[in-house]
Amino acid sequence: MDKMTTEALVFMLSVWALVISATMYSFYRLLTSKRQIGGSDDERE
Amino acid sequence: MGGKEKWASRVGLVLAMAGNAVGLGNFLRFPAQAVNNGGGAFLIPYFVALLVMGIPLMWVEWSMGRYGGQRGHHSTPGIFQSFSKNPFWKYFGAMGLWSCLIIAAFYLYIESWCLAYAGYSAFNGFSGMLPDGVKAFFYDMTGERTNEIFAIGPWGMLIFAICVLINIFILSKGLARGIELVAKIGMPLLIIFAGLLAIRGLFINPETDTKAVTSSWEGLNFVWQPKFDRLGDAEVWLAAAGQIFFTLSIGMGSIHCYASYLAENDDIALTGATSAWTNEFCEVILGGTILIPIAVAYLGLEAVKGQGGFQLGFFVFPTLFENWGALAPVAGFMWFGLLFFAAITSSLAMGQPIMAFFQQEFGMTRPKSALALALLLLPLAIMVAITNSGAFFDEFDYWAGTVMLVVFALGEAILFAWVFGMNKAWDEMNKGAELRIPKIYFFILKYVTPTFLIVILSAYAFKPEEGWTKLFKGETTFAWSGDGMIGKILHKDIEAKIDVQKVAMQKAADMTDGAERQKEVAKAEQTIEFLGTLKTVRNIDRLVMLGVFGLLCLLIAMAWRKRRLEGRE
Repeated sequence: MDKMTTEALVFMLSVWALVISATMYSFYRLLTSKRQIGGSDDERE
Repeated sequence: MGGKEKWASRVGLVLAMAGNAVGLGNFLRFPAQAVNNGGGAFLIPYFVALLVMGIPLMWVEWSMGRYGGQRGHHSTPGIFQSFSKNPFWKYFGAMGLWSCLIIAAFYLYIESWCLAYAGYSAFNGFSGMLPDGVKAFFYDMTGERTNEIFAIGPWGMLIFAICVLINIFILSKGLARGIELVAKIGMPLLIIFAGLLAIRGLFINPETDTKAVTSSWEGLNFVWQPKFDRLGDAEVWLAAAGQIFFTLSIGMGSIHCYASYLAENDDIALTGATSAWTNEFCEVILGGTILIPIAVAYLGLEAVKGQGGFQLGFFVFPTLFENWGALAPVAGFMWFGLLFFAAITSSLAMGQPIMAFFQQEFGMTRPKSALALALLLLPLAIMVAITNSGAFFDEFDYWAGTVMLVVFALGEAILFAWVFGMNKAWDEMNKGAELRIPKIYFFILKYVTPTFLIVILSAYAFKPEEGWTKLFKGETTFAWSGDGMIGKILHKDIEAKIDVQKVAMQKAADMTDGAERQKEVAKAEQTIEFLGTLKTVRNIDRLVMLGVFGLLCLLIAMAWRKRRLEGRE
């Protein structure tokens, strides 16, 4: 980690935090939702 | 013909959509783009493009797909037609089928390389090889030789055929039992493989690993060190916008198709956002932590600078894993395995819209529509596989994989926000939404996104030779770039290479050694002759692409005639 400048480290961790938070929040909402998905028209077998 | 074609679960849909988006570009293209365009600072235009173009267009495509699906359409000609009675839109929607078909033709070829490399790595085939040896392995597989138009590698072709068959087989199994199942297996494996490689990579240090020349954190620093002065560079903004297009798989018609299997009140806001953020996780965090840091740790910063993601990933990486001892075959298998999973989940998304078109419009069964897809795809794929990569491969990539994505996205943004009407479009996007779409997106979608797309398209079309930044600063005069649309049509890229060879010939003419002079002149003459042939082949390629588009339009006209006769229109 000493090979990284403070600027790069702060930048990387900020972006990682943003992406991980957004991903986890989305999955949390999705997995705790009681709603399921429906379906649509004919499948031709 | 009974039964319902639908997604089995919401998580399955998210993984299939994320699988569609997560492709080779996440692991090979993104890190190279970042280091060449300002390091960490690249992420600023990248996220701006994501928020004002990527995410809104993704929601547009989900909404359009769900809306069209409710009206019995699962491919973009019908989906677009359901938004406007003007017949122009169904032919414009043909582009969604066209792009999928053309991109699949070369993408499947790369996918087959990943499969071959994964298998070869698993059996420790790259053991003791240097990058030149891996390069020779690659050229042996593809059959590509310098200055030769035809490139036939028998065993490479065999693996390519196997790869096409695997895709067709999975597609023929249907949405839930084919595409969704593969995504449910492939995506977690991809994330596990990438996560393990990234974590192992972060521990590379000369103190513990004698083969390492520096710590992998120096490579991470190379990726993330923000160079804010590059933010004034127009090329950096264009590169970021381009990356967002590639990474989210927008402008292709595959998102529309997947979303068309949703019910009227199914959520798209949260589900769409989840798939987009999963893609960002794979790209920014996993993609940014593997390729460059590991390469820098073993080769040093100077050796990695200027190398493309593909070269590093396919020619150099197999040799670097050798430094991991007994883990080398496992690491090689994981690296190319994850690339294969990234590729196959994307290529399936390209096949589904075409199959859906045949099923819906011509009443074909799944197996028959899979066969129809194979018949359409194979001639194009064969042309890619048997010719030099500068011919069909590059042209397909440029026109279908770059330019047409933007054209298509601009068309759909206009159709949705302006022709259909922004008020109705907004209601459609928010129908059943489990995530409140910020109101600012009403304004962004109506004005900012189309403007952004027009700017990108103009920048592509009129791209100057020395780049926009130098032109704006008045440091150069205008000349067409070989990478720009118009420059490409005029073969400026090939002409520039011919000019280089002519200069080489002139230099050779001054040589005192007669034999050496003759050799250099002959080499340059041979290259010029090859480039001339390449120009002709590229013109043929463009006619083929136009022909395919014409054929799709003809099929659409036939389908709508059939619809009218059956009273469905």
